[in-house]
Amino acid sequence: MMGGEHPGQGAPEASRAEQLHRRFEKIWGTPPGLAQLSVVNHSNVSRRFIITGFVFFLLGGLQAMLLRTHLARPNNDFLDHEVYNQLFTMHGTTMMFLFAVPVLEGIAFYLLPKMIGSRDMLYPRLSAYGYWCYLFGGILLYSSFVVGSVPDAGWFMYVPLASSEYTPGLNSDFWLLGITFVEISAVSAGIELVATILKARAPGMGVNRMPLFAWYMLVTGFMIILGFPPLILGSILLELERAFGWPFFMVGQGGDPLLWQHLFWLFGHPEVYIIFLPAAGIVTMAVATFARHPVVGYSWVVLAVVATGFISFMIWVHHMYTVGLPQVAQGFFSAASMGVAIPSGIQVFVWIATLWLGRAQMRVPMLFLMGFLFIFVLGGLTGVMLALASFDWQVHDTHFVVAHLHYVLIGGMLFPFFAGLYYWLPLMSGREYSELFGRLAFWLLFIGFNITFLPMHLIGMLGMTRRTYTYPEGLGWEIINLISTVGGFLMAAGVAAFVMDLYLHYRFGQRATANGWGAGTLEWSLRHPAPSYNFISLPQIRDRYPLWQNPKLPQELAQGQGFLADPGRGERETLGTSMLDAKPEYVVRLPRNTYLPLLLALATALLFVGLLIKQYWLVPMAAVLMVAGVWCWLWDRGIKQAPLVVDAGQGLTLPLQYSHPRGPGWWAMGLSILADLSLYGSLLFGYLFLWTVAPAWPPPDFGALPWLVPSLGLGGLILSSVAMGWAGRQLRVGSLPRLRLGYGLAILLALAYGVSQVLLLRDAPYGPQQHAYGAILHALVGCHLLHVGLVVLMACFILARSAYGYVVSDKPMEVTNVSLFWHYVVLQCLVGYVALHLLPLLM
Amino acid sequence: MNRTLAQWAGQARWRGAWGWLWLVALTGCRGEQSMLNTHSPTAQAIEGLWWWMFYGAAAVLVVVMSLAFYAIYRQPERRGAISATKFVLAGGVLLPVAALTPLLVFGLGVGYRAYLIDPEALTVDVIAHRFWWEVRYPGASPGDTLVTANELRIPAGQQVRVRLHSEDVIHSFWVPSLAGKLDVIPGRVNQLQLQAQTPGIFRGQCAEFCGALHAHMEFYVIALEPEQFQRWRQRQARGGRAPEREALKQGQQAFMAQGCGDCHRIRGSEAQGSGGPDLTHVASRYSLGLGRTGRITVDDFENWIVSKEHLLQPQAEMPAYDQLAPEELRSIALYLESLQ
Repeated sequence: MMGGEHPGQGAPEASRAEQLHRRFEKIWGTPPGLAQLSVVNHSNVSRRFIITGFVFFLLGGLQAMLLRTHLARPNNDFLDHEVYNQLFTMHGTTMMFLFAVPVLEGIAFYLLPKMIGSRDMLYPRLSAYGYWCYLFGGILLYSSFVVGSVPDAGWFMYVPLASSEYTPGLNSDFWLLGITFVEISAVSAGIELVATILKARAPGMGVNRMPLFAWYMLVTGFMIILGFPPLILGSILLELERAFGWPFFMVGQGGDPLLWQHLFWLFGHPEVYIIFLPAAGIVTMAVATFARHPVVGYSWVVLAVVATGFISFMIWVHHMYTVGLPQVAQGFFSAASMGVAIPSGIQVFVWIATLWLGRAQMRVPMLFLMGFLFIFVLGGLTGVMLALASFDWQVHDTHFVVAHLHYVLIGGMLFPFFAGLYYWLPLMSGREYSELFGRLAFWLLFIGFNITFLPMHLIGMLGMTRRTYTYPEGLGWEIINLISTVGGFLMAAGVAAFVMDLYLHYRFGQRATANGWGAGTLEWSLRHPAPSYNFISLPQIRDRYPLWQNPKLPQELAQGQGFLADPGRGERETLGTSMLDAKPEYVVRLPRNTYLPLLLALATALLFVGLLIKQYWLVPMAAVLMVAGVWCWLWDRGIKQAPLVVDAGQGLTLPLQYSHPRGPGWWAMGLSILADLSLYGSLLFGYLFLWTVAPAWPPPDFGALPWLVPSLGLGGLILSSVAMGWAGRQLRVGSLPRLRLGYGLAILLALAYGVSQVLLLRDAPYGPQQHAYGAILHALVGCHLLHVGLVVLMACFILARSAYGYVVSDKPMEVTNVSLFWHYVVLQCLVGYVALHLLPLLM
Repeated sequence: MNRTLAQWAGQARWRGAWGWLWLVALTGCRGEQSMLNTHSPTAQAIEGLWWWMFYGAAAVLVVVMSLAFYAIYRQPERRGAISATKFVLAGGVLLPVAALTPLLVFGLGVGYRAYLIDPEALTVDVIAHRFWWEVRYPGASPGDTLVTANELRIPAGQQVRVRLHSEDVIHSFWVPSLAGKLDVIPGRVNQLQLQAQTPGIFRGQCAEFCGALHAHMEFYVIALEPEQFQRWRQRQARGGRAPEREALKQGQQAFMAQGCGDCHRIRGSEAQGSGGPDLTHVASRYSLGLGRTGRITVDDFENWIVSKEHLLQPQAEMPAYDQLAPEELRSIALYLESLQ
């Protein structure tokens, strides 16, 4: 694992750097053998994300090749319709959920700490847990091939086709449960990205000095947090319908299949940008390096990225132009969808202007960037066409859309991904790539791609719909399909050349010189390959391109002339800094390698498997195991013996994060609440949506909901919030008995609320299966109960901790966190009360 | 294909598309299911929109790529001086706003006119089933309703209001030569205005994935001269012809004995099922499943019933009757073929 030396080092300095390297490696390094399963370090976990994602990419690509081979001729019998429908469903699902998102998360996890001057992500165990959820979820989904119930309703699972009536087997269940399992990793990654970018930047790296990639990932992180929950909720509702007959989407019982489409695309459109933005971030970083010029219009890019994030949540309906919406809605969403052209245009012209003002060198990453530019701009232009509802009525669900989405996703994600890999490969492997194979891979991919997908626009306009497993002769589709298939094989050859290049690279590649590209951002100050701990000492940042500003920075950092250079405490430490101007606030002590993430993921897997095979007794068992896992997970934080303040080097003394009221845990809590808010908001959206399609709400045979008991319960719950607030203040003045009293009171009130909700359901005229109203009522109340149960557990955790002396007034973080979540849950139940009890009275 | 569509030859309107011209030429853009071969005001307006957008997009692509190549390959000393801010504003904000505003206004106008529904127009109910289309022409009384399948005959030059219903999953009704698609959603009735300017046969297809045999859910819109349409309608309104010849009588008996009438209706006979397509005038239709078009022969019926080479999968409701004795099969086919 020894890397290239930095040029110009004298012998004593080199040996000091080497000595520090060995000591840090001892703290942060990877254990041998099976113990690697316990690794939580971001460099290792991110490599796992990338490699696993690439394997899924090859699987998805294989499926695509089978599909293209089948379509090469009309009336082909190479595949039958059953297999064809399974393959296109799995191809889309794999590429979106198991390749694009996880691989980009992997790249972001690998790069971000290195770019922003941190030693790790803020929640290393969560990264590891996320990885295992991704891996197990992917395996769960693919195990459908083993039992022969492969999902076959298309990757957006439209109901009622995906409902139990038309897909009676486990096919859709594999999809719903497998993907939800995978999404745990996405949401946790979103939380981790945002918190790390906001709180773990090197001192001095104010938000206006962050590398633009960090801005891109910050917005992506927020989009994941807000965008994935609608899909997770939709999947839960559909699974409830399939498994227990709760008719959310069944027309005859007050449900509506369009609710699924709204929930799916509320996720699905942001998803496109969740994939595109990280890739655009890669492009922006590489353009600056290859142009040897800072990116022009930094603020324009930031504005454009933030605007893209906002707009992406306002245009989901453009996937639904043909469902028969009112003209006004179609007009609004057409205009909003076209609006995306502005931030995209700004970015494209920023890249061109940067190249214009710099001196570009045409190396392999740059080739991929140019390929990206052509493909992405073309895909963007057809996107503008599709934004227009009237044109979309013709080409919607045809191969025109298939071509468009491949231009946007392959152009917008795969080409930047390859560019990024070639760009950062020397940092990851410490070796040079082969210019020859790299160019071969590029040209095969670029030419193959365009041959495959450019004619596909035309065939869509000539009437070929998507997802048709066969087509007759004589409609003018034969030759174009054949051309597309040939192009597909060229692309496959390009992927093969890339794999070959990668193999040769790791086997025979020459040692890379440090920062061979002459890049300006912090990740290139590390030795190659990047060590597990990243930085021997953390820098003070004064510029957007620290290495261009101070070329000696790598040597200075390697010799310990920065923060936290002393490995003497034997702990994994990095700095927590303030959100806007990155002033050091505290030292973050990160957890060491542990098997907990793996065990917790296994318990989670048990939950999903139990749901899948309908052995519901496994579910509470898994839940108990998960609670136990999380309990242990949290218990080893806030260590009693930990000092209140530590020496951070450079004359700086800082508190540890436990003593700070806004430590990483608080941010994690806040961001989790945001994700939960999105989930609950989607559920409320479902409630209101079903209301709009119902003739009467609640249905006449249901009658009005009782109000007395629920109102009393809610009143008690609001009082419990007051009790929590009081208990928190008691901790500040150091009175543990009063804290316990407050907690005990709050728990009792919360339990009373729970009872009131159970009574509400018990006295309802019918259960969840008869009508969509009953189903959504049970879903909402169930959601409240789940949340109340969770906060009660958290409060019990605090009480237990206080008995063991962990809860002390100068380490208030966990009490603060529990209060925050408690108040949020009370607010949620209050909103639920308004929606269920008050709104129907007002209407 | 066993069909001549001579009336199209004179109308195929060609507009050059240099990039794709060779491809179009290669495949012969005469496609009968093409949004580039349009026969209604709506479809023509959308086609016009496409060509505007195509040329505009091509121009933007050329400009952007040229700028990029210039920025990379022109020697730095010789490059024109730019102000980065102005450059980004011009390309990223001004250009899209200037290009897209008129497009949006114009495009929304096209959409608005396409959606105007004339309540007085001839009304047809189209009911999507997995995997076929039921077509009903409501009469003065429910008994007068005329039922056919997989083809929609309309009078040329007149507006027709199509009401779309689904019995099972979501489908999508799409005849690109005449109009954009509209989804067929259970629990909702979507309405589409359809008009063919001239007589002709226009292929359509289900566009929303609806399960196993989605690829085979095609249908035809057949626009007839108005008088011709009236004659067809009157003919269809009659009950099924009672068989006179002995062979046909045997066929009818076999048809009933095999239980075909449990799913199919032949008005004027004892077959009164409603699960499958109405067969009262089945032999007068233009197509018979799985791409068979033109005059339907006795052999076609035979092949269809046993579906030797075809794919009546479990998910399509009709089983393959491949156990029938050859003579029985023949007589049923003969009977069906007589239902003109």
